[in-house]
Amino acid sequence: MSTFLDSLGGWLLVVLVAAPLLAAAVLLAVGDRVRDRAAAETGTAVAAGTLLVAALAAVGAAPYDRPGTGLSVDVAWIPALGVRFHLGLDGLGAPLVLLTALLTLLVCWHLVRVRPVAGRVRGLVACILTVESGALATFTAQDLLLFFVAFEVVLVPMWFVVALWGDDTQAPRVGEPSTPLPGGERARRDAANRFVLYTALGSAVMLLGLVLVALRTGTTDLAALAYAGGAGMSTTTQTIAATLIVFGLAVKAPMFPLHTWLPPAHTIAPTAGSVLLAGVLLKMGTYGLVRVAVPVVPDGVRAIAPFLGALGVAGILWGGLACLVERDLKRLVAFSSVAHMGFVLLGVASMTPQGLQGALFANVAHGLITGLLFLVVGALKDRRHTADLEGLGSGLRDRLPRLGWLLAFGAVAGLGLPGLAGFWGELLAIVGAWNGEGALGPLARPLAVLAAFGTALAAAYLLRVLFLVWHGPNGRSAGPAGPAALFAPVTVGDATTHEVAVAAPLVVATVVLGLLPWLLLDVTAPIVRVLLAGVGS
Amino acid sequence: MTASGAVLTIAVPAAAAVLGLLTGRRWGADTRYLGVLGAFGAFAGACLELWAVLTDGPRDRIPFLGLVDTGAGVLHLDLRADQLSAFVAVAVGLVAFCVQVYSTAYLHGPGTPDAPTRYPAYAATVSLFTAAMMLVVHADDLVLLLVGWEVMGLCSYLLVGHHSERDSARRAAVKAFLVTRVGDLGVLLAVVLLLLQVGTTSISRLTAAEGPFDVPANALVAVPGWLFATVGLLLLLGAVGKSAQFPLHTWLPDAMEGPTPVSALIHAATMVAAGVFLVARLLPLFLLSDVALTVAAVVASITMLGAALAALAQDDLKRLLAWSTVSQVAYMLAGVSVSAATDGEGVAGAQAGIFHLLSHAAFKALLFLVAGCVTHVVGSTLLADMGGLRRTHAPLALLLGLGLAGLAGIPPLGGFWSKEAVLTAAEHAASSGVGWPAQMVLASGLVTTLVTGVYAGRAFAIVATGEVRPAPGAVGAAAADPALVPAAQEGEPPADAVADEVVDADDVVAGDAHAHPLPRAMVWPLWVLAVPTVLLGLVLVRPPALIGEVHVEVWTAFTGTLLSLAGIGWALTAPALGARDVADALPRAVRAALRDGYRIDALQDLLVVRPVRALARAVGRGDRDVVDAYVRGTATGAGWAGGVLRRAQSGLVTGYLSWVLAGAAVLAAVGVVLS
Repeated sequence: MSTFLDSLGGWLLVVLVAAPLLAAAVLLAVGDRVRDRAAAETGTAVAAGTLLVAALAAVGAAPYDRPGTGLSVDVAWIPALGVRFHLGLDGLGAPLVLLTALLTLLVCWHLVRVRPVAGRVRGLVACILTVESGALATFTAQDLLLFFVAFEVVLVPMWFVVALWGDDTQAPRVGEPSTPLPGGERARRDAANRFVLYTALGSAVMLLGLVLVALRTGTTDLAALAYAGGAGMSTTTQTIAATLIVFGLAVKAPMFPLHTWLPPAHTIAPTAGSVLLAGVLLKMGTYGLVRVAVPVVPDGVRAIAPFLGALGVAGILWGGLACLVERDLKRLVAFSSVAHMGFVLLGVASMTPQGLQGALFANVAHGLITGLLFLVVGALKDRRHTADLEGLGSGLRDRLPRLGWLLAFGAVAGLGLPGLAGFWGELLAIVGAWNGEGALGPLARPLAVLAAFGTALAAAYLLRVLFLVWHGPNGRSAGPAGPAALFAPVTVGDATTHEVAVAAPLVVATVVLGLLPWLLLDVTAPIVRVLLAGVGS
Repeated sequence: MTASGAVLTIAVPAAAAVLGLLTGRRWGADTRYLGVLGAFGAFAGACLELWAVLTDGPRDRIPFLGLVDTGAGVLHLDLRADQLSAFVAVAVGLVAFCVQVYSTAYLHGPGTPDAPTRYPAYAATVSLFTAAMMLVVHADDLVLLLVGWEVMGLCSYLLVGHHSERDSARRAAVKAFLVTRVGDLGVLLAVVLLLLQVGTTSISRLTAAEGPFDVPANALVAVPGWLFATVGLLLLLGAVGKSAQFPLHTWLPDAMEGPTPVSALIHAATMVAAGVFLVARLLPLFLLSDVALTVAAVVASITMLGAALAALAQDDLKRLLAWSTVSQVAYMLAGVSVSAATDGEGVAGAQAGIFHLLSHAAFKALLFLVAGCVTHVVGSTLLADMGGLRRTHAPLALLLGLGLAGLAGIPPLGGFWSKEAVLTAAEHAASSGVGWPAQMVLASGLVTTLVTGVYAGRAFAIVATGEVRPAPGAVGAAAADPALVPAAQEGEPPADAVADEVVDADDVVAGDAHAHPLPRAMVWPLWVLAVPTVLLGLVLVRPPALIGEVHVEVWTAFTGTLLSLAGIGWALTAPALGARDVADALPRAVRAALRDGYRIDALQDLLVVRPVRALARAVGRGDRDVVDAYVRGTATGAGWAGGVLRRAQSGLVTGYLSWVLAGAAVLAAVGVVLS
């Protein structure tokens, strides 16, 4: 096996990145001859193949002990700038590569039976595969500029996903009991534009930081930069570079108060888009922090770590409190992402092995759990044409037991129940924060305690959801609610076997990672030590 | 042998839970056999473990979930089996088994469309609950313990809210989870502290010592002194939440919304007992600093008396039992808290506390299951609807009497020995190392004994003696379908349910509900539980090491017995003197305050719930009106700037020409000035 993989070498990674992109191009090229279902099936097959390649690559990249090695391919790309097409898979990227491939497979498979309201499945699948390709390139890029390009590639297809396939029914926001938000074209464009403009602004700022690093160190190779550990840059330069880079990544993560693009984008996006936004795109921001910020400009990140940590905790509390009064279930899940990513940011800001381990674990756990929640909420929305907690009706456990139990499982996992995946990331992030006096200074312990309170807050808002939707009498509001009731529902009845099967891998992975966290922690542990060793020197 | 017993106690019920959930739709109520089998497997595993531990001695580091490298220390997610875990596991297994068997009859039938029985989910959750408690009992690492600890919280949420169509039930469920979760933050932070400051959360390493309750030999010398006080207090916070001690006790009386067998499970062997178990398990850690144990003694003293007084004033049999649990768990905590490192005999307190935990498990499970039977017969849980059980169901009245006598601590029942052991330990501690906290525990314990006697006697006087009350409204129907009983209790007349059910309930003659025979599955578990209730004291003839130092002082026992007999006598003679209910002697306002649990709920609502809600609303608005305003502001600003600059592109040649002229003029002026 290993000799076989060795002979394939890094070209496995090229296949990994190129296959979805090629498939997307083919899908776009063939035109409308391909029916929706066939397009979705093609997408599923490609995504399954990509997952297989990803798994092979992950096996081949073991033992994950150095950045940028394991598997790699390294060819000249833009010789004038010294930029190389350098892909590599290590312990940092491997879990996210697998997560991305898994989630793409699931959303494509989901589209086989569940048609989005806007139809045109072929285009949607092409966009999804392009997003996958860009995300996989981001998680395997070992060159600063390549990372940046891959990071940006994802924006374009995502804009289309939100703007064209968006689902624009929303419940009123807090404090606007009667006036519903604008629906239709305008809402979709607003959400999509906001997402692209906001993240593009962040990326522009990040690019300045990356260029500054490249100019001062004379290399764009991430492994070399990680080993250098900031050598060649004064602390001032590092601080400026870190501020610029972290700002750009923090928009994507997102970090409070740069999060306001997220709720509309996640809420408006179709189910597939929401799952990918939460499970893949947000991860690119936090992955970037661990890949291109912490090891490259360690002193700079340390200088701004107290702000990063404090804003992370502010996000935990802010997101949690916002969820307590949120009426739209989909937007609630989106806000809960702000809270969960707050733990990731806190873990990164602590600059400790536990904190980084926790951040990487929470990244994956959040992708699984929030992906599951978006699938369930999407299924509910397909049936009721609303995600309003008031309009969904109560007694879900009796009316739609399968969806009900999936929702309950997602909520319980989301509140960080020990024994499920969400717990370990939060625990380690808090441990890291408590231990992070080197970076966080006197804020370390207060932040750790406040973050712990955030877990109680998470329990409060998720139990509120279960209180309103899952529990309660099952007699009332059995049919579709509101004006949407006039239209025929896309799907009726409880979750189909197909829907359950799509969600099942996420449930299983959440339980397995919750009970056997070392499966993931052992992968990330060595490289975290290496990355932080650069910090120490 | 030891290892497999310990693993079985967790794995069997966990497997039963998973299987039950997966097959629930196909098999329906047939999953009850899975539940019963799972609980029996857990019980059998626990017995095997106990036998192995008693013959081969304890074992730790039984591999379970592997090693977790946190970067700050390696977590060994292992199990351990010793006398403490084995005895508690046997109690848990026995109670869980009785509860599962009992439930098959108590929650029979499909229910109504509005209030389905949901038996598969119920049986699976009870199984998971059992597995989680077994995990707490056997965990050799604090993080692994926390896993079981919180899964238990989840199960209590699911079970308390089992009749989720009822508003009160779903509210009680959320409350139970959230209040205990606040306490759990303490455990979480204690884990963080231990991991970073001591480098391990392994219970074996934290408590490495000769006996189960001795100070660790290595004494963890390198660790700062404040740490153990802090860790102790944080762990105590978790224990106080789980064990429903003041001020985090408010969830327990409300948790009576769950089906009655669930109450038996929560109160007797799982959940509530877990808090005391945690303190006992980590006692060596607590002994390193007396701060936490002193606080525990104060909390226990307040709780035991306060809860007993509240129990006295209840109008509802289940709520009475709930408050009695709060009070009795305080006895256990008190026992553990009067342990002292300085005194060689100090650990007798912890042993007495654990002994009381075991005897309480027996009599409280018995009491709740009897209460379920009484509810089944009467069709209500209100004391006002009960009476004359002695005449209609003499065996049930006998069992109720045994349970209440155990609760009050009447010799020679198990409850007598364990309670007097706690009081004796407190007396010893008061006169030796511990000082005023132990004196406080002793004083509070003795007064509580009297109050316990009164409310136990009151319950017996009302339920067993006196007139047979006509059942409220739903004669027979409610009795035929226990799932409806709580609805009746809530004051919603189950009118349509009556119409549906009377047809089926052909064995119930209207107007003669009190002659309604009880299903056999609801009766024999009671007799099983009655055995340890009565005979547990025999263990003291040849005590195992776990309770080897427990002893009962004759004079303490004599005083305690006299006090509880006095209380019982007072309550039992009240009817003869003309007052049916001895609690009528309380002034009305006092009684109302006691019945509402001193209105601490209202305080909690005022101090915590409302401020958080207000803050959340402010954040909800702030997110839109403040944070997002800046974002929208950039869009508005860009549009405005574009609008201004657009003026320059008017398309009129004259306009452009005037700009050119103006520019030329400015340049000329600048040139003149600069030259």
